[in-house]
Amino acid sequence: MTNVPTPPPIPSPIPPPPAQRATPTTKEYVPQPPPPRPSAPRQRAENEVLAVTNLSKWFGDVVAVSDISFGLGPGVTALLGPNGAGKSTTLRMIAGLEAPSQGTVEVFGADPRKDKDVRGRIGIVPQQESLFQEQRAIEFVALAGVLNGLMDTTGRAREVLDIVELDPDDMRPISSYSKGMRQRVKVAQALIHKPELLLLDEPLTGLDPRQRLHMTQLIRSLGESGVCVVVSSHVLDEVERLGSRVMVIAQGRLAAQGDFHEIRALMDDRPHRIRVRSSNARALGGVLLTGSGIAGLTVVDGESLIVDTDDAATFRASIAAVARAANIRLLEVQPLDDDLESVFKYLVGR
Amino acid sequence: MNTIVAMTRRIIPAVATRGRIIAMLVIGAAGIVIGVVLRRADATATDMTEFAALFGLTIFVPLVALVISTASLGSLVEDKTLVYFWLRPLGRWQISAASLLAGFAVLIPLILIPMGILGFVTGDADALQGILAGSLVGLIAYTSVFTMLGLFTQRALAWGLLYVLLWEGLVAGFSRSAGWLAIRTYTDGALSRVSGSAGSIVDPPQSATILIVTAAVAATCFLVTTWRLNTMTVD
Repeated sequence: MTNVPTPPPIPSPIPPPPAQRATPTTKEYVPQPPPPRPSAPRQRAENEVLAVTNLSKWFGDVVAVSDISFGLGPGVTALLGPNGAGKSTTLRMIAGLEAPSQGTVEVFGADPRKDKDVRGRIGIVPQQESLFQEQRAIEFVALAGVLNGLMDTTGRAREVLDIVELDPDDMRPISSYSKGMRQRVKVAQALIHKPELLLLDEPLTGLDPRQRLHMTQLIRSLGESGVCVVVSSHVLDEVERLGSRVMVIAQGRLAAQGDFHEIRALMDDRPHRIRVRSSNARALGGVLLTGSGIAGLTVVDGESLIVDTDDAATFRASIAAVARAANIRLLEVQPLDDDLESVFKYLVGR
Repeated sequence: MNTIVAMTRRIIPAVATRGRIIAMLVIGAAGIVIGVVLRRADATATDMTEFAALFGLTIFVPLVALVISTASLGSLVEDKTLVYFWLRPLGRWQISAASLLAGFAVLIPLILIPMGILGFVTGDADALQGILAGSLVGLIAYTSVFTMLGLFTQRALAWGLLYVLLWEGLVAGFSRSAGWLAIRTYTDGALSRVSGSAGSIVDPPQSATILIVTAAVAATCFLVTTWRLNTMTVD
């Protein structure tokens, strides 16, 4: 099936709501729920599987998720964000494991915490590694089948273990499995009942490169077959390989959403800060300022200077030639904000 | 029913770990040995029944039920495997029922066999029946209470021990009104009513009261456990 829903106009960085992540400065600080969003209600797509509306979650005085709204249909969607951004909390609320502090989650129009039939249409791979350690993989997966009301649980368990490249006849207990094997067991139990909504929390963790490739292909094929797959990840390259729609979550908020390539462009087009070490920082700075694309420049000491540029790619390509022409020896060019944390901060702050 | 049985079969190995079973068997064996020694020292059937009430119904039954039952759901919460039951298209009551059944499945032999032997050692058929009746009441009530407790706190063992020692062991023994709120009153009552001996309490509750209270405790704990499963955050 290729009825992947048309993504909304993208990329669409979400303006930050007034309430930022709670950072209490005094003992009297009392967390306030995010203010109600004044915007018009989000329009729902016809084949919408999942509808999240003004979803917030706070733990004590820490806001983990703040006023997130989105709707998803069939296809793969990645929740991308740094560790602690609120991805897992969002996934857990979608699965019904956690009650929202504010807002609603609807899966096929029902609350997954209350509607047991809806839970039968959801598969989840939780982040934690815990499994029933003394069971064999086939027993663990078949139990999931029984609890989902399947008839031929052993046959289906063998099938899904095959899909994740595990041996159904392996007699060893799960406790003897490697991290990657356990991860695949978790994926198998989530697939046994052919869920229509599949939630995968960091599913590629612990897998070797070949297994990652296989799992990525599996996730893509599930999305193409009409399953609504939501994958959380903090690794940009992983998300790129999934070829998915992306929702960037940072500091508990939806910072941007859209097609991966446009999100990537949004990330690359931001101003970059680069440290340049050379034999003569002051002279090099003077030369650089005569060129274009430099938004700011600070000479730190005799060797180092920090450059702010809107076009990092051009800057990196030309800096060596510029230095050579000025007879300056280039020692080091180091991006200072190329990590995902910086990218996410930038997107949130837009 | 199939799903409840499947979950029960999964919970039993998590509850009946080798360490727990051995520890509980040792305690049970110690009670039987003391019973045999008392019997050989010419203790009367009444003395033996009082010992069974003191050791068996006041210490052994609640302690074994505590150790096993708090682990029924508690171990699933602790090792974060409850999610694999909780996310399935099941009624929460089915999880409650499976955890109770697992507790009963382990505790019935673990409690009734040593208590039966202790009753046999008394040499009195009425005492044997009374001890088994008291044990059964304790098994049902304590299992229900401690299974529920295991879902509310990760320190269920410590809280349960405090309850058994302080409330059941001390407060209920000193205060008649507090005694009505202690399971021990009903286990001792069942022993007295069935065996016909005075047991350790004066004026034991009527048999019907014992049955109603035991059923009410079990039903209430079952409902509270189900409610808790409905409203809790699952890791």
